[in-house]
Amino acid sequence: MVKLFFIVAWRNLCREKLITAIQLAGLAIGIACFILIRQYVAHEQSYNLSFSQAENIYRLDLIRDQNRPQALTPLRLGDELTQNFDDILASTRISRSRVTVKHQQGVYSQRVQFVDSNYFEFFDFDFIEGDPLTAMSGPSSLVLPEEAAIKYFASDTGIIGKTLTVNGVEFQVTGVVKKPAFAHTMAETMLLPGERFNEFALANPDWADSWTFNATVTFVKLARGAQAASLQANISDYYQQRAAGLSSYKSYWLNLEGLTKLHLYTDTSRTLIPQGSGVMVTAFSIIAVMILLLACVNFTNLATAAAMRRGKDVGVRKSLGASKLQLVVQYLSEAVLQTTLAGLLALVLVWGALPYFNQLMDVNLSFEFSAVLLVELLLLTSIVGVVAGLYPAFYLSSLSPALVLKGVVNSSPVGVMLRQGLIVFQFAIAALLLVASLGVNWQMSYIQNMPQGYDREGVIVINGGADIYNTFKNQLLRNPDVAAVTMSHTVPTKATRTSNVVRRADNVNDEIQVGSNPVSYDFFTTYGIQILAGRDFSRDFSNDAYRENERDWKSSTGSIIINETLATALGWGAEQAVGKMLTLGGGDDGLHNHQVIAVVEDSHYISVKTAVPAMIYVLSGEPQELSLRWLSVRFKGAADASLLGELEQTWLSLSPDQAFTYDWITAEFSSLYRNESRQSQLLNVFTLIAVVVTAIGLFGLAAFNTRRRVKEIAIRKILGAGTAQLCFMLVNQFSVLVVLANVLVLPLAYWLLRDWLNGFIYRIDMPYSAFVLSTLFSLLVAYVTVMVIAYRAANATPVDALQYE
Amino acid sequence: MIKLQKIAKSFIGDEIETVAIDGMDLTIDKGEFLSILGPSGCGKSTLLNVLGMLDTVNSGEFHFLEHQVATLGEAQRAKLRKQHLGFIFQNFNLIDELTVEQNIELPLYYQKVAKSERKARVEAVLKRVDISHRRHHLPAKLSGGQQQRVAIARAIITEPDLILADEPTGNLDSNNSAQVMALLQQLNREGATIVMVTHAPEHVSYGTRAIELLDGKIISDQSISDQRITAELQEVSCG
Repeated sequence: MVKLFFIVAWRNLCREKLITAIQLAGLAIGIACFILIRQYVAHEQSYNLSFSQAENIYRLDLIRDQNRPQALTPLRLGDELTQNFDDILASTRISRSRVTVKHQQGVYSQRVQFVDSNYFEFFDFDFIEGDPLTAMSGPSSLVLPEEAAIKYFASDTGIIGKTLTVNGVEFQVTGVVKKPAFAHTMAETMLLPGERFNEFALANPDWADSWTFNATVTFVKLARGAQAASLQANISDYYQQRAAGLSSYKSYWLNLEGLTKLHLYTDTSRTLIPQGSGVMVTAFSIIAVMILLLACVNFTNLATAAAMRRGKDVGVRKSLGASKLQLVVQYLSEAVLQTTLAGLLALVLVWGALPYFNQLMDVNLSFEFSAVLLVELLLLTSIVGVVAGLYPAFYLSSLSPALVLKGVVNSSPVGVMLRQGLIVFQFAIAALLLVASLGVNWQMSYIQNMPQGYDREGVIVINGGADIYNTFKNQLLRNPDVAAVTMSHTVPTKATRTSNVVRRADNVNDEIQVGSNPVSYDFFTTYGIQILAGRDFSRDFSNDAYRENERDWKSSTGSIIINETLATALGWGAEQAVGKMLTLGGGDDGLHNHQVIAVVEDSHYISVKTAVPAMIYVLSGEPQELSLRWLSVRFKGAADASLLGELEQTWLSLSPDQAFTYDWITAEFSSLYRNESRQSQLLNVFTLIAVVVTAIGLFGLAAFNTRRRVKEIAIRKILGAGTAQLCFMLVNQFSVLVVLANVLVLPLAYWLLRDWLNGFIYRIDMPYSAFVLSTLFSLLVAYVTVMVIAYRAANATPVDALQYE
Repeated sequence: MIKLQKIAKSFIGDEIETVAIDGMDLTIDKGEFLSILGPSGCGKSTLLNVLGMLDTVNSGEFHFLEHQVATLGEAQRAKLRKQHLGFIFQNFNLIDELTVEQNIELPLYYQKVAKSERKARVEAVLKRVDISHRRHHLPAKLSGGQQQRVAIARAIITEPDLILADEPTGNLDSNNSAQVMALLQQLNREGATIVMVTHAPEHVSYGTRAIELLDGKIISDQSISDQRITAELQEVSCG
């Protein structure tokens, strides 16, 4: 009996090859998408879960005034809190910097992290060799990740005790960390002892004890049962008391962010690795379910349509004594059989698509065939099969045998309504995704193409080089391909680190918080930042350089260039501002006045998701004076490898121990939007898939409907209908549904898009054309899809159709 | 009106070639009511399809009015069909979703006849076939005889030069059959040329001429003038 049942099911699948193929393909695509996205979501949600004490570990995030939380905190914070709060059992710090590593003949510029000796008590990574508990305890300890071990020693074992020279100091390898197979938010870099940070990275040793110099990421381990909320208030209070008045910020707050929440559910700047987006993960989960639903709808739709053909089957079975339940079970099992086939096909699709998906999302998901996966898949396909097969099964089993045997069974009004409703539903989802992806793409391209207030083409930026700057610059300027060279504290695409408070000298009570960028000569020329009024810093004016006099604040010197936003905030036009006096200082520092010599256009330092802050530029007479960190070079035309090679030679001739590494500002700029670009790409892919799945379903249904009307088409043809007339008739039945779907979904799409766009300061207007385009595009898809079928039907010889009767 | 010369038509199946019309010559004049008789598979329906330009021939010449049909493309044949031909089928071939009135109106719609004229002509034809009272019904609600009257109405509404009827009474009881045949005879007397395929020899007497086919060839061709011939024909075509 079971065998017979499978034979019947199989023959049914084979009898309608096209419809079966369509049903299976659509469903397989849907299931494959669902599996892929589910894997991705699980991966995104798994960050830090593998650390054994993850539940008790928190990161301290610092909020200054109304600013976005930042992960960087004072170096002394962790110890202070551990000593003064019983609920905080331990703390560990991670500070980042770039160092020069010498090994044998090579000189490498390398990002490293300086960590406390208890780092591995917090983050239990597996070691290939070495002891995690003691690895970071000595002042010359060095722990390498697997990749770095291979890079320097061509092996990840047997290297304990070998040495590397970092910034001229010799370090001994004490451990090699195995590349973790799990997701986490720690950067996998070379690790150096925390105490070396002060020596290598702090220009002023006093900063290590400062309450306002934020340079390290602090993690704390809380006692079991500690109340994070009340503790947060207490430590914030503690910190506020110590930091108040030391800088221009008025209020401070410390957030305790749980380790497992860091990746998706925080919006913190200066983190060790870029965060994921919880919103996007949720959005993609919804999209995954939507695509799966679309595929189920296809399946149901085609199954109910095909059910009409099986009316006779029902009649015969019922007249032979089959009960309604038996029939329901039979048709449902057939549906589950089909979805299981689709599930297997989906596995093949996932297997094939995974490399592309990994590339697209920059993740490393692997596809391992396991019993769990198989059970999950079986469960999923069974559910899909039952859900999708339910209506056809009940519809079929409730047919009256007397009527179906006479051939009276035909499209029931409910069935037709259901199928049309499902088509509307599908096109509504497709239209929603179309509008969303159009809106998102346009907004993304708008913010990436809008004027940034500087010219990013043809500029490279090099980290460090203050000590050789003057000579290096002179030599470079002799090269005809170099247009300008400068040095600055920060550069566009990187955040401003320092802040200040300015006031009009004639109104010192009105304070304005500003970002500050100390620069060398030629900064504005190098970055193509327009001077709107006034003049650039110049060697012709000896008092341009900014020098604070801590003994007599009033005699501090230096000219100031401000940006347009600040000029406006101060109540001046560009021309008006030039020559005015600004008062800086405050807190522990005395007040000092400086003259505005120019107003420059607003430049976006970080992505345009934030507004341009009020900015001042001050001149660092020599690069060391105001600790300038980035050396920038503008080329006249395209720079080729040989030109960059010349630069490197020049650099190494001046500073043989310092690696020459550079980044193009254009690349840095793109990386600011990497997450957004990736997500809009993913949205595009899913939109395309949704449209394809919808089109597949429509194709199947159109094929079915058309075949049902084959006789009618033949009659009409004999009566004189032309091919175009017939095609139009066949296509037209769907266009009303497509338009209806679009109209129904517009309010939701409008509402979602408006909300999303409101999250941007610089944004496009509500793109109404996206709604029109989506409608036109779905109509086009529907027309092309149905036309393929319609054209074939309309061109068939009418006699065949009539003989088919 | 119609002249077939050495017409041949065969169907090529998976392995065998079936000859349906085998080098046939046939001339049909205007005003004739020609009945085509013969056993199943003798080529009657194929001949009708060829005459109706629904099917193409393999070889031979087919003159319809001044046109050499065999050389025409599908679009031109469709045009000729639309202008000159009317069809009546054994299974009526009405469109289930359209009412009686809409079914009858359809050919005029495809000929782009103005709406007011369409209404007037539908009105006249409805009366003619005596189905006015069921004009708003769907075909499924009608009896077989009524459905066939609707089909005839649809065939004659364009005032075609030639009406092709494929076993018009095949699905009807004797009472309804007689009514349909009488209607066709009346149309013929009013000037319509009719070619009818039939299995029922008793209906031959409504026409003016009868041919008998066997294996794709005409084996007899008689004009209907006396009862004796009709009786003979009745005997052979019962098989």
